[in-house]
Amino acid sequence: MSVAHLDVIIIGGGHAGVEAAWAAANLIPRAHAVALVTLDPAKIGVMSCNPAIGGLAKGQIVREIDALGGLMGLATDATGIQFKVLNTSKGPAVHGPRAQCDKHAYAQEVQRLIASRPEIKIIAGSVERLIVERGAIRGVEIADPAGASVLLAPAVVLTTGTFMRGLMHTGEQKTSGGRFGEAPAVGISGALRELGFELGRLKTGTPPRLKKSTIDWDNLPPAPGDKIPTPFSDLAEIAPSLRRFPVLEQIDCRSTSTNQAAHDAIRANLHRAPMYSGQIESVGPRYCPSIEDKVVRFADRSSHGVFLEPESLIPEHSEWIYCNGVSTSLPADVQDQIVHAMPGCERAEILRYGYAVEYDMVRPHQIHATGETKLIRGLFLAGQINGTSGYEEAAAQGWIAGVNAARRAREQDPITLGRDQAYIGVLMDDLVTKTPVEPYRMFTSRAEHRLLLRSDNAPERLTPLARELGLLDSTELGRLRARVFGARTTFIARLGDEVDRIRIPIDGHPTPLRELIRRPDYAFEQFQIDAAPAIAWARAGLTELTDRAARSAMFTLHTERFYEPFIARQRIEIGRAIEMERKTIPADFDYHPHNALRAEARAALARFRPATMGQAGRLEGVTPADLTLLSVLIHRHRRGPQPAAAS
Amino acid sequence: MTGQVSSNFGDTIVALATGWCRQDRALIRISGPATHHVCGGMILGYPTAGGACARAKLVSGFGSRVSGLGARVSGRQGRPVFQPEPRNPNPETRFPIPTTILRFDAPRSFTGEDSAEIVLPGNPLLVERVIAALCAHRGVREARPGEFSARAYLSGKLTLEQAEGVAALIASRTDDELLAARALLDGVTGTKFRAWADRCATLLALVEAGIDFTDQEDVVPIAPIELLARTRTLRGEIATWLGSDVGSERETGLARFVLVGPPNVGKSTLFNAMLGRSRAIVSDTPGTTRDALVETLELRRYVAGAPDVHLIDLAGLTDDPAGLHAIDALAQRQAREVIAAADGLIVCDPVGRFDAAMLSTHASAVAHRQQILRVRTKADLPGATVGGSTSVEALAVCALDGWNVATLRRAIADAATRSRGGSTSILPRHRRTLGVALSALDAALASTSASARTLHTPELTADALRTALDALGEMVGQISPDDVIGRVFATFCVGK
Repeated sequence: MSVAHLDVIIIGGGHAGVEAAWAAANLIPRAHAVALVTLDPAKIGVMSCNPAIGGLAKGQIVREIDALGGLMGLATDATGIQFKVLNTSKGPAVHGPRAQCDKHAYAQEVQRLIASRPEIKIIAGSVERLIVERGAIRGVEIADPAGASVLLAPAVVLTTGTFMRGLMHTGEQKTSGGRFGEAPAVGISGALRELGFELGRLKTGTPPRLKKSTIDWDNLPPAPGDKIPTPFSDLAEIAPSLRRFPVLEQIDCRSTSTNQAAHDAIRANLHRAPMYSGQIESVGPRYCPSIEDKVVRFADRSSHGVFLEPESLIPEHSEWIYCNGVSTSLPADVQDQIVHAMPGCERAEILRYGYAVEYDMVRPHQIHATGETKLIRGLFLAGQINGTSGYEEAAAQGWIAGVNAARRAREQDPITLGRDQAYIGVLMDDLVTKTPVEPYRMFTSRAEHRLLLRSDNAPERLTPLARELGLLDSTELGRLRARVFGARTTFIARLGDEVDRIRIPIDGHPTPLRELIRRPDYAFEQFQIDAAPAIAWARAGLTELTDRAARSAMFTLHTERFYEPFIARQRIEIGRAIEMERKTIPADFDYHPHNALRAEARAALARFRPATMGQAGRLEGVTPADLTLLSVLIHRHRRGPQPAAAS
Repeated sequence: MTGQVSSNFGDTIVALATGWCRQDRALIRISGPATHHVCGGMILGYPTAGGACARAKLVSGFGSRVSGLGARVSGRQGRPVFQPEPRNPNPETRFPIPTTILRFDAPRSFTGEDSAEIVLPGNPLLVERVIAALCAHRGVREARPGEFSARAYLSGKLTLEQAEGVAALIASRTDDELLAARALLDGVTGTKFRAWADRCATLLALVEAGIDFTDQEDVVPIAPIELLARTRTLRGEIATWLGSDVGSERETGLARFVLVGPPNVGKSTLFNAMLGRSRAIVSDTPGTTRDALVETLELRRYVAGAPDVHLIDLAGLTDDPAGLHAIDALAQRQAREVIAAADGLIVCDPVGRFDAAMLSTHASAVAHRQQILRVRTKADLPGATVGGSTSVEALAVCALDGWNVATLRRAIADAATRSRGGSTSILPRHRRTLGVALSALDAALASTSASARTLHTPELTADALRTALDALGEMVGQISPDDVIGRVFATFCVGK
């Protein structure tokens, strides 16, 4: 049995796994410091479901990952075939950039980026056992066709996606596996359970894929993207792989809809739907219901919209059309009826039927906001294993777990992101303080500081942190990002000073530009005209700043001024809350003897074991008075061994 | 370890050390780094070093609100006369409040921090305004339950043995507060607050749906004009409810019982008899009583464990407005307002008929779950039992010889106890919270343009509605973003 020593082991090559590997490699610039173990290396970076990245709230997450030096934005920009910023009619805080990608090109680009890193060693195989000694991870045991081997490392990141005891359903037919045609990971569930983890089971689904040449494509109404595409990465038009943007040809999608005939077919066959026959008992997401759910829950509607989205421009895959809106696990014959009832799809051939997949997850109250499990030092979980859904949510957790795994390997303290700092912070905090009832998806309404967590200011929020953590030091891409950000910062500072001095005559009165910006009818385009001389002056000598980068920096400045009074108020609230976030709770604190705490509060605290008073306060069932009492109890605990508390 | 502790807390905390009920003196405690700065600015004669000043004056930080104390301090025997007063239009008006002040310098104080104790007249409304004025300063907030004790312990002012007691104290206070809050919000008031929170959450869900689910063809964002209309209605209801309360004596926390009935049925005589002294002018001329008279009826002196109540004597109601002088019309209007806000009505009728017409005058009152006591007054007069038409169960009372007056007191005590859990007074803190909700709803209205087809800055509208919802949630339980998202899923077919 071969034995290899590494710094960090990543299990799984999905969106969480690759982001974790990328971040860890950035922090440990040594050949083969990071192992990426996956069942099939050809499937690294595959988009299992819809061929799109970003959207509302998710787009902000991708911008954050990019600002932190991650790879998702780079891969999306390189492979996007339709870019569209959602919500542009509303305030900039809720603009959500979205891109539809060539899914095969996307996976290839991710694989190219990973392969470009000598720090990352790709290993094909499945994890059979976690090696744990005295409460700390030591490594993993791998089974692969060539035989068993052992990988040793002080930090392991588990990203199992939908593969842990994955079970796919199409009608009455059940197949083991985490994705069509791929085997499940069976050993790992049992290993986690043996270690004492509490597992849960979730469900998600995917729609059928249609054959493009059998659809009346040209006669369906087109669904176009933005005329001028907006990239995710700050390195668009700067990084070598993104010199030209957009890189790929831009395409239109098509829209169609379900109708009464399709709904009748669904109703007539509900008893054959796994969700309704009792074959699936686990919970699926409310925000991504199957077409059978929609028909049952909103019985008064006779039609639901459907988008037909090309999955790829690559010739051998260009026939594949993603049928967005009809996620289903109904039997194949019913899926045929539904599809054939849709306008333009009367003769459409289904290349792959939709299916639901059930999988094991680890209930996330068992991890810290760092991604590390509370039970086993050095073992990190990221992605769907924590009960989330979505590529972006997975990548976000991959980033935080990858960074902290590398820091664990180097014996550095872990880091977390605040709720006021990033959607990634909101995500991690929600995971460790709430009991998920369905796969967790990000929404902007989950962020109480939504006006601060914008896609436009992601660099200001997070690139300094990336620089401080050392994420930008080891690669040319990182150093490039640091330079671009430096130019942007200088430009915004200079321009800000100038803009605040400008007065524009309005009805004969010189009005400060700063005030004008706050008027709802004052457009960004007008700002660029009114501030033109200042812009030219501020840009002077900043050769690093492309036109696109300058425009994006101006937009951030404009937005900051637009929200100024509201942001000021949010900052006061943040200032109040920060005291609670800084107060830590000892990891070994035992809640059970403290009868003075109300039973409900005690139960919540004992289950979630919050790391800070701030987290404790966000638990359901914990009141402000409980917090006061807790602070006294903790203080007493810190003062050393005490006689047992009243019991 | 004492030295660094005060800087650990950062915040300065304020709390009323005495209860919210009516007392002669109230004690406000303040502790934390900003104590001396804040108190020094608000109190004339604030000591420059640790010590006391018995003749200090609370002078600023109230703006116009002190004048809105509501009860006009009347010359007549120095008792407040129950008469809602319009807010003083001149915000500069201040009148100094005599206080006794004790200043403590760190670490020689109960909490180990800079702290002070302010002793002032026990008018709950005044106390509320002073606390609000203190909390308006940066870094100053209301203390959480047990927080003073917790700070004392954390700064080493209490020993470990005492800390055990502190823990128990905090825990018991918490339970008390929870019980009190629950009791307070049972019944009509609680239902009303919950309904407001629910409507606010629905409005927020409709706005959030237009932000987070616009990529869904099934989601139709709420139109600005509809949002405005619904927000205005909600705002109006809260404002009306608050307005009906502002300036009343409701803040004292005592249940109020009003003597009602037609003119000249002997209400004032009964009023005096209940109090055991001559307070109201009594004559045989109808309409003698014009002002509302408010007195505290100390029921606990007569009935063990009974709450004290306010007994209010009013102008008699008449259904014939035509023959009234202007001044009488004013008195009548005022009387009706007082009746509407009362917790209990003592309906007086010497004939004992209590006919439907008279009770219908108080129809709105009945809707508010007021306690109704029927009293057949002038039981000594022969006409009282004429026709034997006392079809309604009523208590016959003779105020002149004291017949059944004690029984009536007991009946009031029972009624007051019953009304405690119901629509009695809310805590001043709750009213303040409703005020926060009101101004947040105003901000939501301001961020919405009626002429637009869609919301241009729904994120700002949502921000304001969220603030309003959080404020309402402080009283009826927080409504989380997850709950709001749940409403979206229940309303719209979301999902591609």
